[in-house]
Amino acid sequence: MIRNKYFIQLTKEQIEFFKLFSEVVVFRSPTQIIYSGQIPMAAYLLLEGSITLRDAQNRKLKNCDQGVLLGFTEIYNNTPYKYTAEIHQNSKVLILDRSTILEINTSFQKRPQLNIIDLKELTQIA
Amino acid sequence: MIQKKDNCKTCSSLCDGIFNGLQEESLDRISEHKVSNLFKKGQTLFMQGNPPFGMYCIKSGIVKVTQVGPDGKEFIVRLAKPGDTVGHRSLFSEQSYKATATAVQDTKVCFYDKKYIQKLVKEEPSVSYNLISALGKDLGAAETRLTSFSQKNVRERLAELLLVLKEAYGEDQGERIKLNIKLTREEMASMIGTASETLIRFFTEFKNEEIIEQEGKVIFITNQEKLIDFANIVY
Repeated sequence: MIRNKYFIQLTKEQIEFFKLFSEVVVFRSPTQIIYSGQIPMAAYLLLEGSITLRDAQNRKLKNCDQGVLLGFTEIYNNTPYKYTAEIHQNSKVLILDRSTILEINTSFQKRPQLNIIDLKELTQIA
Repeated sequence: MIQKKDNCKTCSSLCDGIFNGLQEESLDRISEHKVSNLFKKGQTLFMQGNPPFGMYCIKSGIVKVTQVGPDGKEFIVRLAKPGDTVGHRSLFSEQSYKATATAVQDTKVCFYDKKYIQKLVKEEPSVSYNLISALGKDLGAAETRLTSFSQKNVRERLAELLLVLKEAYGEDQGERIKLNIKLTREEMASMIGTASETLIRFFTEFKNEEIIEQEGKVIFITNQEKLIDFANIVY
């Protein structure tokens, strides 16, 4: 797992773990999925395609590729996003909303042996 | 910065929304789970063609729900006001969003994720009932518009639109009714399926007939009876 200021890059094993909790969805239209300053409605795990991150002044910050997890720290801690994210056409993602994150939490508590992800590390504010 | 959550119990739109009739404890639980955000004018809540993952409740402001047709033209399907929900139809039909929802002005919105709404529908009969009621009203409005488009001319459709806007956003000022919504000519033309030029022509006619007045972008209805006459409404 690699972590930077904006997102977390997951390993293949970790991606498979998240697939247990959510369905793969395809964004047919390019969409702003994250607005800077908003409270997260979901975290996004990018499986195919790309997502562009921009700052509040619309300056490009990063291009995200496969395996990037966006917004997990923010949704877990209920803190606003610091960037805007636009998902590109036909990108495939897992949407991890609040209910899904609660499920993940419960499953961690019930079966700690499943713990292939360090949840504390994932949810730490950078 | 940890954000404080708005409680549904104190929401001024509660009695118009799908959580009307719920016990206080249920409202507390829902408030704890939901996400409240401000969408600035022009920001999109969801896009046509994309997968639905939740439902949005309008707390304040206005959201326009639009569809883009095969010719690339945008058509306003409906306007959502405080207390209204958007995104619920796709959520239960398991289809992608058939329309795009955009904030017409700065709009406060509460978001409820798909799994949570599905759980609420199973556990809280009043939520199911209110959702069915909302879907029924949407269907009724869609049927009325379909009839208007097939049987009414542009003058009648414009008069009907002004009456619909009056019901949702009208403020009685005694002599006249102020419409508390600012739509562009293009947006209004799109709502009645005509060109902006045609809409402007009929607006001038309505003003000459002293049915409406305009101050900047604000519209006032000055003769409601005549407007009903123009709309050719059959009850």
